[in-house]
Amino acid sequence: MGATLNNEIQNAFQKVTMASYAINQSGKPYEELINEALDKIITAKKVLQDKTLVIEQLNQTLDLLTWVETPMEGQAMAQIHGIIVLCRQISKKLQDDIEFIKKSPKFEYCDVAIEAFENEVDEFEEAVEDVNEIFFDIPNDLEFIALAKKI
Amino acid sequence: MNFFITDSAYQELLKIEKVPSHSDLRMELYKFLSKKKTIDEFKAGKRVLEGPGQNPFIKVRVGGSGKFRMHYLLFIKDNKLYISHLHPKRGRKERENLNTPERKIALREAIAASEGFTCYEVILNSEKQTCDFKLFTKSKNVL
Repeated sequence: MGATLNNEIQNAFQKVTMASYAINQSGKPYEELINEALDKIITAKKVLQDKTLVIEQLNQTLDLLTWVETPMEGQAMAQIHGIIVLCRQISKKLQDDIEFIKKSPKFEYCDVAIEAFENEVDEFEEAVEDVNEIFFDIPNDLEFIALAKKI
Repeated sequence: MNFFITDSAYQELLKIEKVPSHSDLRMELYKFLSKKKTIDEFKAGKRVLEGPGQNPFIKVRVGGSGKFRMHYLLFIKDNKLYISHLHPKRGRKERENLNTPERKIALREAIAASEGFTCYEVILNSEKQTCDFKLFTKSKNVL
């Protein structure tokens, strides 16, 4: 009886010692882990903010482009068509980004940056279609041309 | 600068601002119109169309990218601006971009307002940081 009790105590002592070692030694300290997670969130936010700024500048460029005189020569129109095609490719990539962000729960910590990013992407898509309409649809719309003569 | 809004754009504004999330529409419109001082500043936006008289029909965002969109016709020599369309980008009553036929209607209404059809003068109320509207016809100002 005494020997069994002694074994039980030894067994418990061994398990507690091992658990203590495991708890104290395994993995990084919590603070370090949290700091790493925060660093990743800050990086993700920075990437989003940088992209938002690039899209904002792109939107301003497209706004300015609409002030170019129309109608234009073939080569200039071909270049504008090229710009629209490229912008639509960028737009597709940005939509993929948004889809990925929405699926990833970690991004919920960057909600303000995501909202700004989405709004700017939305504005960009609208701007691309506006440029297309302004250069390729409206100049061929007789009703619009008639209205233009009144202003 | 003198600001005007077409009758249909004004009626739409009244409907939009009833939505609680868009109740800041007048304030945003006030900020947009009062911030700019020169004609050139009002030309900052997308030019949709420019006539032989060099009076551009412009689309802008009001209150940032996620808020409202507005179309206006700018009469440069007369220092007059006619708002002919407004819509929110998010929430109730949100809508996508205007299509070509809708833009034509908006332009036609702006031209009609400039020719004397019923419209409203937009009065900037700096005390309350908002916009007031007064029925306006070209021949006489009606209270």
